Amino acid sequence: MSRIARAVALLALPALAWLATAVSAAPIDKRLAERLDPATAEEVWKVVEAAGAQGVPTDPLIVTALEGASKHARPERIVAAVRERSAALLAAKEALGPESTAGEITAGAGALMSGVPRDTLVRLRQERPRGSLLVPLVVLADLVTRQVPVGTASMAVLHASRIGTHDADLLRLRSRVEGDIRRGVSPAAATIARLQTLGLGDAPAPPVRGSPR
Amino acid sequence: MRLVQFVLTAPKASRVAVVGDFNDWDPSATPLARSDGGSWIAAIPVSPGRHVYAFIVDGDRWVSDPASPLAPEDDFGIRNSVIVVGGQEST
Repeated sequence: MSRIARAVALLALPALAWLATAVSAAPIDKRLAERLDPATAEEVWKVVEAAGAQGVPTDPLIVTALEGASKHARPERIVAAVRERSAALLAAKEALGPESTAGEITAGAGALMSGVPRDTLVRLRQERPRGSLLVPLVVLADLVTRQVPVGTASMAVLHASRIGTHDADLLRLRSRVEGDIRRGVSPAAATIARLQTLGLGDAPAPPVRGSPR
Repeated sequence: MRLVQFVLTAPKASRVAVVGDFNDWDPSATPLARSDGGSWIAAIPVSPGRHVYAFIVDGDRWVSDPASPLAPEDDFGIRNSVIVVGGQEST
């Protein structure tokens, strides 16, 4: 090869490498680019792209990073939180099955991160192989949020799914448990009491501990 | 989407915003309007599901919603509140 040709080839190499990179990598989400420093945005984007390649919804990961940005969290903390949620999304997808919707996977990840065991998600899918699990998963995570023991919350939602409870009734159960807890009933007792009245219309609230029946 | 009302009583505040996973945690996205009695209110469409959020008072003070439970997850050191919005999932 002549010296000129060699020089042209050497000059062209970096340009070709850049072009290959530009074509293969999707642009960083605009929201990340605007609200994170470039290095953190790039680290987060790597996690997002890897998660997307495994078929899990990626918007929850971006939103997690944006939450960290708004709360002025350290970059390493933001990246760690995004990785943690990515792992939860993947675990939820594996537990709920490959046909799960983005909403189910996201809700499932929320339940796992609230402390619900993976096995509960697997059993939920077995109870409802075709219907949407979005509401059961949301109710499950919410009950745990309200200090209902994980075992009690899991039992309640699994039982409700097993007997074919409609989503509207499950949401109503959640709402009534919330009201009972506000009135002083223990979270576990409220859940068990309301579970027993599923499908029985407007059942009375369970008594507050210490109050006369 | 369901219209959800967010309310915070903060009579001494000069501005309040709600941030959450429904508006990309953007402090400028959803300012609340001052109402009677020192309450601040905003109503915005939110998709069905479980959502976490918080209020930002006067631009820098993060406040959880006293009317909602706290999220159990790690929230970058600032606790979020949780709301469940009912409705049909869109597929």
